[in-house]
Amino acid sequence: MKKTTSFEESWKIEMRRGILQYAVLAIVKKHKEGVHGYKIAKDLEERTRGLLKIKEGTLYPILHRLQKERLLDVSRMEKSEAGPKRKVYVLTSKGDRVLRALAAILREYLTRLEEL
Amino acid sequence: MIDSEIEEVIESYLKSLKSKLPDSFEAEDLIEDLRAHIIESFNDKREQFPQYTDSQIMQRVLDELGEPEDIAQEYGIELGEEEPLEMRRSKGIRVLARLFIAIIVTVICSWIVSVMTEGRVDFWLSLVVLMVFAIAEWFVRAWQAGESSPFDILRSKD
Repeated sequence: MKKTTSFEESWKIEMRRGILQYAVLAIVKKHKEGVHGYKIAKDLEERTRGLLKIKEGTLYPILHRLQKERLLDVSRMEKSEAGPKRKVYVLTSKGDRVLRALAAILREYLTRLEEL
Repeated sequence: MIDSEIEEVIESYLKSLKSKLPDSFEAEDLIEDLRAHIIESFNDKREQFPQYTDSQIMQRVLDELGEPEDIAQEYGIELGEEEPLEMRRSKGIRVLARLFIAIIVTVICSWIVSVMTEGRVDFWLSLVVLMVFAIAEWFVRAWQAGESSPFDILRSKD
């Protein structure tokens, strides 16, 4: 059977992409000492009460992209309890500036949209 | 401690993902990140749900991780490889060379037609007609190759 996506669903998917990048930056900022991917995935679900729950694997291309854009940096490689080393991400100064700019843009959008 | 059966499941998943990603250092790095994530998630869930078997837990870990296709698709969206600048330059040079050769051939053909017909077919008319055909053929080829215009190659990405 062909799977159909409602207009609201596809709109939500399009909106989520940018919001997710913002949320990842915000979560990393909360962890001053740095945070690894698994914890970011958990925080995305818990702190947004499931709103931004994603397939955890799809988080990593986002992290790589943010790192490539120099918004995130890998501060160290941390040995987990029983597994390979994992990256610990921190927000760069550029990332911090971008996050604040994105927050301002989001606020402006919401204010203007509420006025409609 | 992870037994060999579970390790095989992890390797099979990562192998499937690898086959869908480009052969690059960045993709290898992504796979290593996912390997660490899988093992961490597995150990975490094993502590949380001691009543389940390792296979059931691993199945849940992979369900939460998503299909390799979804990850590869996200990778393509976020980190879609750009064509290297050198390759774009090389293509641009080839397009310009082709344009130059097309003009030369069209001029020669028009001259031959004009000479063979002892001026009954005007050189300039023949040149315009052949040029129109050459441009039309070029656009058809670009369309077949999936480019919106033959000059797409000449435009460099920001």
